[in-house]
Amino acid sequence: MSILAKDVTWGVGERAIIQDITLDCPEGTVTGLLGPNGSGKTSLLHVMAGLRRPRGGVVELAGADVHRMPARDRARRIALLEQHASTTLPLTARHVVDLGRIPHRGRWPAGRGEGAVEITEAMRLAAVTHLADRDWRTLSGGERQRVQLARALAQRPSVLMLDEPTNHLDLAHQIDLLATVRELGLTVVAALHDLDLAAAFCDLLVVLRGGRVVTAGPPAEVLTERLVRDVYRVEATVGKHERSGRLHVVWHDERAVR
Amino acid sequence: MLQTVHPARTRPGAGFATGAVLTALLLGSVVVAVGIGSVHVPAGDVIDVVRGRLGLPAEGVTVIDDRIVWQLRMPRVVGAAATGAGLAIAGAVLQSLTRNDLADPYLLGVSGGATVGAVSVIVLGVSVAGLVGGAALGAGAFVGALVALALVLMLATGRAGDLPPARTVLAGVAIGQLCAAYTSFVVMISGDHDSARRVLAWTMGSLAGVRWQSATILLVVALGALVGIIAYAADLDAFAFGDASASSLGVSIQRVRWLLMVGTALLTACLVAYTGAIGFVGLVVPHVVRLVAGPLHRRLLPLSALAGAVLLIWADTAARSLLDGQEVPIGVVTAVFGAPLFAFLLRRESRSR
Repeated sequence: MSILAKDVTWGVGERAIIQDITLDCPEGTVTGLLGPNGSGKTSLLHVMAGLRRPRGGVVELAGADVHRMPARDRARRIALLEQHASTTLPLTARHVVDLGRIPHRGRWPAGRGEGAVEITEAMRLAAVTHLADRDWRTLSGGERQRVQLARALAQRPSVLMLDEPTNHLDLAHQIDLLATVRELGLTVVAALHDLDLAAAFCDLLVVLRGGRVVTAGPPAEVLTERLVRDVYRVEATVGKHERSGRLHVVWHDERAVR
Repeated sequence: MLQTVHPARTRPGAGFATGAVLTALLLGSVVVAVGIGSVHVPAGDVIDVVRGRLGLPAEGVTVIDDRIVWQLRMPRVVGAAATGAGLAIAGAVLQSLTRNDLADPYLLGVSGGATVGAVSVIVLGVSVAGLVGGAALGAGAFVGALVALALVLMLATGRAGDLPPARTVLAGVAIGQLCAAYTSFVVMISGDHDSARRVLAWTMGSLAGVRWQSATILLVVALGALVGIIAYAADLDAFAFGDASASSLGVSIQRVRWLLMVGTALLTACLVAYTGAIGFVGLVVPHVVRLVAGPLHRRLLPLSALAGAVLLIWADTAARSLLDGQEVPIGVVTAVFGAPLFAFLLRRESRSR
């Protein structure tokens, strides 16, 4: 399913956090949200995932208003991987993945075996099957993130919202996770910090600053030395890696422009 | 080939087995506890009396046995079971909704408000709707609990009509302190020795006044609450990782939080009106059940209800039979026996990890 944000504005109290954001994510594409800390990436993801009602504008999932949908219907179509997930409860990894079936289950505990196939499949895709019986709180940061990804996949969503999904992951797992997500063929919107990874795995990049869209387009058009200087205030060289043909950003002398 | 993973089941059938054991324990406890007292009634005779009352063939039931078992002790045991079950599920729900291990059924000012109501009746002789005696006390406690609940909700509600857990807990503390101040002041200024004792006894709880009418009400309230809350078991599970996570799983977080917080507070207010503020059960039983059966609510809620019922049956039996001619406040019993048990389970869990 495609997801489209039109002129979306949202804020806390008097302060607008994101303003007039328009973002079109066609079905099956991966969109990367870039921007410095506090630029509104998480807020935009939460508004697009239906968690916060925008003050202005509309978010449409395949043409249907996300904020007018019953919450359960919405949760069967859009899954969110949060930046920081924490719990005090002694949940096993399997319990956590099982939470992803909540939007698909009825109110009464009749269908308890429901979702066994989806849960098994989600755990395999996220490579966490071997962690099933571990207490979630004893897992490493990377393992937690992958278990949460399995939970999101167990929701069987059409759209996956990822808030800095590669936080806490080592390089191999960063590549693994983004490659896995890409291969699923879902519509993905991901807030990312690593520009090289964003260039490698996204079809479309959207750069935010101060709650507004600075620029948007394919990585090769968006990721320029000027953009890195303007948005992140870091002097950098954007080049193309010879063997892989991928864009890479190398920073140097960041204080020169401060 | 893939091995199919059981959803959320580390030990298939563990919850079911625990449930079966606790149900057997509950039925056994009712029969044995009813037999205990100044006149001992053997379990066989208790079962005969119950069979007779249920219209089943029963032999040799004496009038005196029927009176002791059915009229005097059974309502009190049934009331204890219902109260224990209700307090345990209220505690489990509030701990999950606020993500706070210290949450108990009295979180929203219910016990403080109920005590204000009770003190007003005991010390100041305030009358409620023309009622007298125990009925006035219960009505006063219930009204007090509702007023305190309303104040806590007014203080805690945000601009958007939300009910943030941290502010709700703090509002409960603030109103609780205010109620405690009123209670101390009234008892100090107007209370004589006897009324001070009665207030203290009330705050520790007692099931001495429970008859069939009140036991039936307690049972209906507790069972109704249990069924209603189990319908929200999955929504409560969804709160494990906080509000945003619950919302992304399709839970209408504000509606669910309001419904369950007010629902459990009303449940608690009903229980408190008949039994006083019995501590410890609602705080500890859900923790113990979580250690044994895990944190998922479709198991936690019914198992907490059963465990709370068993615990309070025995606490009340001890309360009425430990001392000759005098009742021990049931809150003292629950704490004295519950705290060491809880400490033992905590130690065991910390070692197994």
